[in-house]
Amino acid sequence: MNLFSNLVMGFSILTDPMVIVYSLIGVVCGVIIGALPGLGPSVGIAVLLPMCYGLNAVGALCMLCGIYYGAMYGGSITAILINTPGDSAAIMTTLDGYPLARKGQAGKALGMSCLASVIGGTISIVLFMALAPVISNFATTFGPSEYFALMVLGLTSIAGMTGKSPAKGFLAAFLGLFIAGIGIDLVFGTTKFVFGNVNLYSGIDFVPVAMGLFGIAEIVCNYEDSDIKIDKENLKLRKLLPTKQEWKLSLPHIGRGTVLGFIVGMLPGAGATIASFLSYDMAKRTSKRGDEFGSGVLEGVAAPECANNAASMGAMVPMLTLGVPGSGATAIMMGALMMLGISPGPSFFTKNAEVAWGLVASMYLGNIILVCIGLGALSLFVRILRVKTTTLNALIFAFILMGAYALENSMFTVGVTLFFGVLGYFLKKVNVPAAPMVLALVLGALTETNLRQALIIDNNNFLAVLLHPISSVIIVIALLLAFGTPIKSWITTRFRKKTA
Amino acid sequence: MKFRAQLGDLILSILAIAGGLAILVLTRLQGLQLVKSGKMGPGFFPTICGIAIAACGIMLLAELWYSRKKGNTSEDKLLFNTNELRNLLIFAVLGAMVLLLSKYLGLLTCLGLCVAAYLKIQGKESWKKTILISVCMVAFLYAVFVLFLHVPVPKGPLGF
Repeated sequence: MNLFSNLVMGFSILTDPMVIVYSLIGVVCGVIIGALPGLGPSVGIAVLLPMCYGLNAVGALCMLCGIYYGAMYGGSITAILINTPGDSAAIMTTLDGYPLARKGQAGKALGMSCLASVIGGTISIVLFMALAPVISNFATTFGPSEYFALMVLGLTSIAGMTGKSPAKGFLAAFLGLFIAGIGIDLVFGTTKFVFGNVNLYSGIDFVPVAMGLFGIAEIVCNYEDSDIKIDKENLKLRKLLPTKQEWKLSLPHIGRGTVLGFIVGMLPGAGATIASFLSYDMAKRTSKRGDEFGSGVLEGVAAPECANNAASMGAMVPMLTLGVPGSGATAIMMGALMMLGISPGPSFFTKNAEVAWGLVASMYLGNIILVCIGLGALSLFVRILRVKTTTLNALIFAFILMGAYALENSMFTVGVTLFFGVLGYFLKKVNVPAAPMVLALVLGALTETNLRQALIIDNNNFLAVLLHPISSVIIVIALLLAFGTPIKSWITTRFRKKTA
Repeated sequence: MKFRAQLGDLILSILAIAGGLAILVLTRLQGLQLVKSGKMGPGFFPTICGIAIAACGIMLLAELWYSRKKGNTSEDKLLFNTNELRNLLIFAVLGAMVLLLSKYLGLLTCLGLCVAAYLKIQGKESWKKTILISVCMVAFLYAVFVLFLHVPVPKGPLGF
């Protein structure tokens, strides 16, 4: 089947009105959660995961994707209105978004942010459609050793690139790997670290851990009300749309930022924050009015916003085609897919063609929904943001606990969620990132299984597993990504000392 | 006692070393072997994780020592503030209440009480608003999880 007929098949799935409803719910919830300071796409997906339990795979995926790119746009609302980014990917938006709001052009900044997000998202879906099947086809030649190497790449790159201290990232990753190993051993049937507790025999699921680490830990730290004041006149559709001249100035940056964001998004561990930073920097360097950046120019809003949405789409490529999530949010999405009985990886586009192309079609739909509600219901979102943080916290907390119970119809999972919520709070305080732990928890079992299979194929020779041509290249990349930065800084310091 | 970031890092590194060693000891005590019948044994991954966690703790200690040696105290901020700790305590107590009482009062009732208690204690809302929000939340959870997703929740004396 060619690309066009696949896409037609995808759109035929969208004729189900419930899929459209799920997508709408996802985008709306995503925008709201993304807009709440401190709560990013990972939290949004983790908190709303329980809603997917009873849904079919396409519906669940549409909702999760809707949350993902909805949150990417939502982060810019508070970044522009109150100089507080809803998530880290919106940090660069504050630089020009907030000065624009202070000049009385908040509506225009919000409008540009929404339109740039949608344009970036839509172009990157085309890139996704072109690249994903190609990578999938290439990866069909992969065996267990290559998969093991890919898992190592996913784990090391995320752990090595999060935060200032790689040791803390690796600590989180190994803690996650250890937790993933709890339960019954798949080969020998012996129990590992269950201490007689029957609830632990099937292991610890990633969902309560993610809900605790991302959801509860975030709401504990998030207790201050946001002080949003905006003139209603500013939110009228006429005021939100950029002029022809503003489009002319912004479109080249949107184009460049989208391609850059998509590429950066595909790299494990890089993510939307780095994409938006690089895109803003590139726009500043290439713009005719680069020296005005930071004082409130629309290109300064457009460039990072299109890049962070494109990066979110780029991050889907390694997750869906190789089964290697590149960020915390995609790790949770991958876990959700596995929960629904779908294995992301090279066979995703062949074995689950309906789901895969339904997802692609839903991304187009999601972007249409995003532009409609982003421009049409902006005043409603601003009103929701005025709700007291304590009220939102209470509601999110109750929702998380109910969702944790619904996972296995057991109070044990509620306890696990609470435990990881408290643990997540303390880890957050000492700057240990949660994403590597969740990623390791999702990839842990797969890593172990692939290593075991690879060892059986290579007669228990670990070195032989690593020396397969593709695996060795992947392992070298993983090591460079993980240790490249500390080694480079060490060499630079030594060099400076010698030359001084 | 004021908890600063460097003290937090010190405690984290000690806990990581102790935790890593504890994993190694427990792996041995449970008889989980590294290699079994010529294959990778059930103790292989826990051992690797234990060693790696302890190694991360040592790396953290080294980072801390290096940062102290350089006299870098600019990042030694206070770790906790009272509002956050109060928030954590309230959530922990309410969570424990849900865990312990849902068997007797029903999960939805407990969650409703939990929302009400948080709104009253932390949000300082009026009784009218507190009751309204709690009832609406319980109705929402009932609609989504019980009616739509058919989740069998523990029921209390009120029948839900």
